[in-house]
Formats: sequence, structure tokens, C-alpha cells
Amino acid sequence: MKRQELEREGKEWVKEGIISEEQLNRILARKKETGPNYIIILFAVLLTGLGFLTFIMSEWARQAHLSRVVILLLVTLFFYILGDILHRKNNTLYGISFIVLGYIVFGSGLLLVIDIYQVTLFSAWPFIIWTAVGLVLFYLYQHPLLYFVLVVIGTIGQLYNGLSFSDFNWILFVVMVLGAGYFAFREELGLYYYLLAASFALQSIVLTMTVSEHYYWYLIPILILYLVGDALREQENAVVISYVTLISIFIYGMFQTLLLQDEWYSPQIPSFDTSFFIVWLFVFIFALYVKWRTERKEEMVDFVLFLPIVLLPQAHLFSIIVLFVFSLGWIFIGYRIQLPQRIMLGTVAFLFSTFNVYIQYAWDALNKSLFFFIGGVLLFLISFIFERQRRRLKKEGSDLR
Amino acid sequence: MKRLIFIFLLIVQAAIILLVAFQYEWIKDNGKPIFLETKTPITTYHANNDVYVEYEINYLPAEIWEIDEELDYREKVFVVLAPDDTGVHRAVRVTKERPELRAEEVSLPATYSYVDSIKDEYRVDYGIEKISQVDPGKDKHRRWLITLKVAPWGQKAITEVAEL
Repeated sequence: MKRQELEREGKEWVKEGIISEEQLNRILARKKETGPNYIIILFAVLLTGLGFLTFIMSEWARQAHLSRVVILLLVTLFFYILGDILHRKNNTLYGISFIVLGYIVFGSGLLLVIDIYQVTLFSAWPFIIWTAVGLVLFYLYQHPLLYFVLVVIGTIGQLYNGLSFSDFNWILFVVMVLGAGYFAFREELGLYYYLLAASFALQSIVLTMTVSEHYYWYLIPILILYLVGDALREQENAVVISYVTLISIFIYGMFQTLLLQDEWYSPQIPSFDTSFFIVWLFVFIFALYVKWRTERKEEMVDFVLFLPIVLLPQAHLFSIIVLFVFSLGWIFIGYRIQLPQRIMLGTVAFLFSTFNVYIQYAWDALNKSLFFFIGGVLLFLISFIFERQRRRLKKEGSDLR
Repeated sequence: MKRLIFIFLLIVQAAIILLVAFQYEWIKDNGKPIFLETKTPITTYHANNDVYVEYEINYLPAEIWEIDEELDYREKVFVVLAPDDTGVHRAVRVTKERPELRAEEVSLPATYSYVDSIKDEYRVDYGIEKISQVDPGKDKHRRWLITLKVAPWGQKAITEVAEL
């Protein structure tokens, strides 16, 4: 039985004295826990939204005629108002779905009129409006789905801005970080922090590619994000920010090992970049100070990934070494403070580092079938060592007790 | 309070979309007309009676390029146009900042594309290279004369397509 039906029926039962009011509430609460068709609705919204986004490319929609605009507006308003009515009738999920649809149709409509009326764009301003509208909607309805959609749209807008105009849109960035950041901070929801941090990491790529000349400037925004995550330690869920930063910087580290070997790009890297070094040193010392003050010295191993390897001689070799130091450090510390999550992430990082090196060096040198064989054997070995280590530690742990 | 914000938000969204549409109509009626010549041949864009044209002013000789710095792909520039004896507009100079215009002159914002160092000319885009709903009977091997209306804030609308 659907929750709504149950609610209706249940009220009858209470009236007839079959069950008490309290019992009904408990039954309803149970119904909620088993979860409605959340995923199905999510996909329904996404598919319908995508339907609209592709529909605006159709021949019918692409006629520059006011009737098209009016129809589009009516559809937008219809979705919004229907959603609002449903939401007020406590049918939250459907209400939000229609509001999200209205939101998507609004944005696609805006992009459509811009295109059919030949408005030439010189920045991603439609995306700024789209994101800002999303923030206001989120303020009104406070639903994770809205948050998700608006962060995705803002991020796409920034990527679009970077690709189309080779420029970083600071307004969009500030609107996203301040607006969405404020809501994440207020709601203290891990999902929000996760989405926003991922968006920040992606936007930083655009920033690095458009504003700075070299890839290593990416270290600075990510280090700042790491500091933000650190500063929000009070909130338990904010820890995902640190995870997102470390994943980003680890991927950066692997990418760096390739770049430093690249025959075309690596000679263009200056041997020393003073302005970068000064900025980096400033942020880095601050970060170290924070870690030292809060007495979480074991986390200092995270900072090996934030070292400006590129400025060192033999940078290529060091770029590989830091990856290993980081992953082994995480595994080691994970065992020390008994945090399985750290061990897991450290292990994955170690695997990636190993394969990064293996693929780079062995792909050309080895026969292909030998390449895969040795890779497989290498994995077996690593897994064996880890398993033995895990058992030994488990045994030690139980001995201690 | 939240109801008011919601209603206000709906109005704002509708207004933004309508503004874009009405701006176009306004430019068609009140914009300053300019006449541009295309290059040949004209290529057809997918099925839709859409065509892709290249204007004479898409290619700018180095003599009129008044920008010293190196530009990024799709950076904004301003192309100043002035009519010649026949009334067709030609590019007279290109600047990075919004230019001061003499009589008869119009400026169009454009995005920098690339520099052709052999022909010594710069390629820019105006965002009006795609024209929809063109009469399919038009000869694509002749030059066309495109009539454009331009608003003071740089947006433009194509109002007429004719063979030269």
C-alpha cells in the first residue's frame, strides 16, 4: 500500500477505534523508512529533464517565433506551480520533482531563446542566472535533489565558460561557493559538502587552465580547499571535503608523473617559478601551522602530495616517490590509529601508484602478454602481503586485549 | 514570506526569457542597419534550411589590427565597421577595449579565433555566421548581402538575406 493510501485508510481506522493515533504514526514512520521509490523518481526527473534539453534542439523549437517562447514559459510555470502545490500538500517527493523539472525547463528555455534569437555570448551569464535561481529555490524547498541539480548546472556552466571563452567566471564561482557553501554549512549534510567540494575541484581545473600558465598552480586552490575542510572539522560530515581534496590531489599527482615525462611539455616548464613558490610557501606554512596547532601531526603525511615537486631537480622521480610515500603513510597511520577507512584508501592509492609506474615503464618495454601477466602477478603479491599484514595486526590487536 | 519569494522568482524567470525575445524584436525595429557581404561558397548547415556563411569581415588584415597583446582563443574584441561607397560595411580597425566611434562607424563585438600568419590576417567570429530559415532557392555560389540591425549594446539581428 502506498503511504498516502495508508494515511487515508489509517485515519479511518483511528476513527473506528481499530488502532490508536500513536500506532498509526508508528506505522507511517515505518513506511517512510522502507523508502519510497526514490531512485525511480530521481531517474524519472532526470530523463524528463534530459528530454526537454534535447527537445530544445528539435526543429519545432528552433523557430524564432514568440509562440515558442510563450509555450515554453507556460510549461515552466506549470511545473513550478504544480510542484509547489504538491509540496504544500505534503507530497514532498513529487512536489520537488516537478519543481526540479520546472527549474530544468527554465534553464533549457533560457539557452534556447538565447540561441534562436542569436544573442552572442561572451561569458557564461545564463548559467549564473540559472545557478542563482537554483539557490533561491533551494532556500525555499531545501531538498537534496535541488542542491544536486544546481551544483551540477553551475559546474557545467564553469566548464563551458572555460572551454568556450578560455576564461574563468569568477561571478559564477563566487555565487556557487558562497551560496551553496552557506547552505552546506547550515544543513551540515555530507552530501552537500561532497558535491560542492567536487565542484570546487573541477572549477579549479578551469581556473588553472585559463588563468595560470602551468598546471602546477592547481596545488594552490586545492590546498585552500583542504584548509577549508580542516577548518570545518567541528562538523563531522565536513570530513568528506578532505577526502575529495586528497583524491583530487592524488589524481593530479598521477597526472604530473605523465606531464613531467612528456617530451613536448616538460621542456616548457620553467626550472624555477618564484611567484608560484612564494604563494605556495605562504599557504603551505599556514597549513602546517594549523595542523601543528590542532595537534593532528599524523595527518601531516597528507602534505607530501602538496609539495611543489616540479621545482625540484629530477622532478619526475620525486613525483612518483611522493605518491608512494603518501599511500604507504596512510596505510601505516591507518593501522596505527586503527582506522579501516584510511587503510582502505591508502591501499587503493598504493595500487594506483604501482600501476601508474608499471604502465608507464613496462608498456613500451615489455611484450604485451607479459605485461598483463606480470601485472596480474604483481596484484596477487600485493594482495597477499596486505592480507598477511592485516591478519598479523588483527592478531596483535586481540593479543593486546 | 516564502510564498512571495516564490511568486517573485517565477516572475523574474519569465521576465528574463521574455526580455531576450523582446530584445530581438526591438533590435529588428529600432537597431542601426548595417550591410555585410559574404564570401563564397555558402555551405548548408544540417537539414533545416540553415546555412553557414562567412563574412568578408570574418577575416581582418593585420594593418587594421590595433591589438598588441597575444589573445586567447575566443577572447572578446571590437571590430569597427564603416560603409564604403556602395554602402556595404567594411572593417576599419579592431580594438581590445570598447572603441570611440566617429560618424558613420559602428562597432561589433567579436571573438578572436586564430591568426593566419601566411596571409597575415586574423580570423574572428561574430556569432551570426549561422543563418536559419533561408530560402533554399538562393544561389550558394554567389555573394550574398546580409542586412543586420545592431543595438547600441552590441547585440544584433539579421533582417534580410539577398543575393548580390
